[in-house]
Amino acid sequence: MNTLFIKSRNFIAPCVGLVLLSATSIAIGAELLNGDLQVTGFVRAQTAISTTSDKNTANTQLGLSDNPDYNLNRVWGVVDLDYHPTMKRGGALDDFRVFSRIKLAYDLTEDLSGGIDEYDAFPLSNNLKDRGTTMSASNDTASAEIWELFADFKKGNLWARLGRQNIVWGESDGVRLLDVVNPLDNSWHPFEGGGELFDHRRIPLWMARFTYQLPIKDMSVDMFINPGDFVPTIGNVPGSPFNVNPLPRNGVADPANAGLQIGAPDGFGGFVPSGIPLPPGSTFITADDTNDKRGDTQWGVRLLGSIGSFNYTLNYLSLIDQDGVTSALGVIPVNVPAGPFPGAGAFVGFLPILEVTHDRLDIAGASFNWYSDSIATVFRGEMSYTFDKPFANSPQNLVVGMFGPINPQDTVGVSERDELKVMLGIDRPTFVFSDSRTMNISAQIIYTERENVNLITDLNGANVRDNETQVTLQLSQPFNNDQFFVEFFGLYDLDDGYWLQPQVRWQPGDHWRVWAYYNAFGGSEDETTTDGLGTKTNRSIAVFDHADELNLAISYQF
Amino acid sequence: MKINKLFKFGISALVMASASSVALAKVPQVGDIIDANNVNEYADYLIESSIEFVKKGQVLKIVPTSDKGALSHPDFIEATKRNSGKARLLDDYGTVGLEDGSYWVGGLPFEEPKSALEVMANFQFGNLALQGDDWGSTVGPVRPISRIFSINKDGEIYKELLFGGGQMSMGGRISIDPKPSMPGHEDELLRRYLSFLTPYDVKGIVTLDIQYQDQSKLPESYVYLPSFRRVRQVSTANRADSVAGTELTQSDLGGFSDPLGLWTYKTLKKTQMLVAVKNEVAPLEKGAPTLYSGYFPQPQRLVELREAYVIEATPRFDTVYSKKIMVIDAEIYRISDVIAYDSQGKIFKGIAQDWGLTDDNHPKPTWLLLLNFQTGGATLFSNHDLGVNVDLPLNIFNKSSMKDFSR
Repeated sequence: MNTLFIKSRNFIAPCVGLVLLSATSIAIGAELLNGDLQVTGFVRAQTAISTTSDKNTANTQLGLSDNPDYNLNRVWGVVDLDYHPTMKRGGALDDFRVFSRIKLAYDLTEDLSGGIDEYDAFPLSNNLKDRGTTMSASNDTASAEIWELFADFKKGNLWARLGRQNIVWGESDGVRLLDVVNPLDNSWHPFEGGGELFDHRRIPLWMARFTYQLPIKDMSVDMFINPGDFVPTIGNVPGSPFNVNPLPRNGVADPANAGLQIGAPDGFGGFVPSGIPLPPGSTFITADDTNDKRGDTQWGVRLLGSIGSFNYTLNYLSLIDQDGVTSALGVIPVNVPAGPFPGAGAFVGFLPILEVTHDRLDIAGASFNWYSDSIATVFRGEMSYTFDKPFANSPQNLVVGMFGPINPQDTVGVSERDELKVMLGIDRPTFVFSDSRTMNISAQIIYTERENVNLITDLNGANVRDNETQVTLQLSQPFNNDQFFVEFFGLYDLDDGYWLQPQVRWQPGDHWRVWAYYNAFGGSEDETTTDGLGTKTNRSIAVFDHADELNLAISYQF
Repeated sequence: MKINKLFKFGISALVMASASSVALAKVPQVGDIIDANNVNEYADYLIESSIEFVKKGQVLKIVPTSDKGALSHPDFIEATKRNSGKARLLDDYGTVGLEDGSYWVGGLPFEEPKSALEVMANFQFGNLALQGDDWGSTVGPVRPISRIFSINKDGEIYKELLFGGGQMSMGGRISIDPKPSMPGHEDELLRRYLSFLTPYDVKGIVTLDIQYQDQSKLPESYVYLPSFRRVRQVSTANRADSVAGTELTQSDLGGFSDPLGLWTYKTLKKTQMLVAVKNEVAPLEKGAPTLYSGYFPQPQRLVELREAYVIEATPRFDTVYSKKIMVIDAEIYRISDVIAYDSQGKIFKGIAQDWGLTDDNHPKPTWLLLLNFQTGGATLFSNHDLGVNVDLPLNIFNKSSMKDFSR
């Protein structure tokens, strides 16, 4: 991490935006239909000022601008419509409700920031087949979405929620083990503060969820079925300040056309080869099965139970891998196109042919929480076990014999490996600075173990670690009758990576909320280690060390 | 000679002092209005916090004392009679049950309490459940019933919380089947959920508390956070922790909300006191309440001259309070006034709990004012639509039901 400095030339601009927002925030919460319909929400202006001159190497490799003044400038808001009529006892339903959240956003990052190229700030539904399920309309800078839309029904011990919704299982904060039902939209600000790390990034899906209370105290079965609304993890597109993927992603292309990219037209119908070999990392994604998976069913079931203050769940999920695996199918030689010009047909190099696949994942898991009176501490834990998780085979597998590669099959395609994740955490409110208001102290350790992972790669081509450990610490201290909060979130990766987020929040009264927080990333971005299985390159959260930023946000809620 | 002189002066001073105190002390009469000018004349009938409230502008009006039984629900009176003499303290912490060791079956356990702990047991069964088996909104489980206002030292409201909620007695049930306890929940005293509605950043937060019959045991507490979309168990050990930044602590809800075993009790006196048992100004569902003299929700707080216990509670655990003194009515065992002292023994907070009656004569807490005498900050808690025995279903009190109220 570099020394903090604000290199923005346009600091005033977002401030003006905030003032304008303040002046124009006239929205007022409303109760309609005799109190059955509640209309609430907020409007927020948010800026993330880049405080480092470190370059985003993913953008650099793509030949894009890599040093923005702002990582984010956005004005956005949500409107929640909550229709909850009173039901007569003994009627057809005990309870009924319809909820919808509408999200509107306008992104000003490109407009206000230097050191950045054009990019699509709202790529969520760009490449999806049947994108109408996302109920969104967007261009590169503006977006309107019906983010959530569901109806709840309750009759006796059965409760159902049908519609576009989020489902969160598990006990972890800031990391996701069993909280994998909904994919993340990482193109939204991925390092949000204020306890909203995932809340605005989880992409709601069309699902049916059912909870049935068993005739045993606090025991129930919770299940969901997603009949086909598969949406992959949405990454930051090339050019975005948070892009970490150096692969070009211009959609699926035919590698036979690849040669056309090498050289330039001569203006007379001919072609002048550049003479420059393919740049490192040049690839072509020839296949992406995302849209093939649209329509495939996903489901999950869990049992919830309690023994006193010990609460547990047993979980099983059948999901489609949201992150997907980008693996090599092989390589093809690339030649300059044939034609009446010097160098026509010349061999340029080999072009890797890649495909993105999203396999089905079977995940078993469990979680618990338990409160100990004697030490006034809540213990929580979570475990997930993914069977045969796909990973891309690495070119490092290649063994070259006397007559060339002898195992090309080991460098292409995917390998399936089991993956175990375990989290143990504690929460302990403690009087520290005040004898009338506790500081909430939470700590977690998250351990991941992968089966025989040597020489397989992650999304970005870096080697997957055979094990990894992170610890997190979260502190929150309210002051002045909960009108002012000082908070901290820290994540440390034992392979040398960290994310620190100190934060202050001001909450005067019921409507205005003001945040200031800093995101600092650091550590060894690509640390190479050697163990009995070979040499590996570790990739931790340190890959974001170009994204150090000061965040300011002001919100008016109604 | 010198000693004799001093003795004479002393005797004379004592005689004059008693004469003047006889002149100052006043037996409260129906119709008396007590304000800052004359509150000292009624000091024998009020605890220190009540006197301080009046000095800060609260006006008390003495109204006729209600007839015996007029402030209680008939079912509760009948259950008290039916189970008279059956109650036992099962331990030194205040757990109440029967001779065979099973838990209490309903009504006031001790018609003639023999100890302060038995008074507190009566308070617990006569007060917490509002002489019914459940309470909640009369309109539906998610409708608002309560508001909490934060008031600064200038008497201005700067924050308001609106929430719905409900409570179900798991033991001591007297009106709604199953009786006397909820099958499978026999070890529990009650379950209570709260569903926060405004402001926006707490909307959708749902809490569930489980209190146990065993009074040595801390409650269990859970919170559903909509931004996390999951239920979290939370520590209940920090009883002095503020509730959402208000002056209320976990211990102060309803005047006293701890398991009885966390404190020891002493009866300071059982005597005629000025007790608030029935007030007239009902809280409103919307709009800011009119505050008189900055803090008080009624132009006049109605008090009756009634037999009451003055109980001193001393904590067995580490907390911000060194003691609490409570005025508990000796017939209906409802708290009227509480004073809390800080760890240095200085006057810290005063609590005034006002009551109304539902249409069918269940007690209904209307206003609870908590004033921090050291900072001038205050919290006003009001219930505007709280019904008793509204027959809430058990399944809304389950941990996995908390999400149903939220997104």
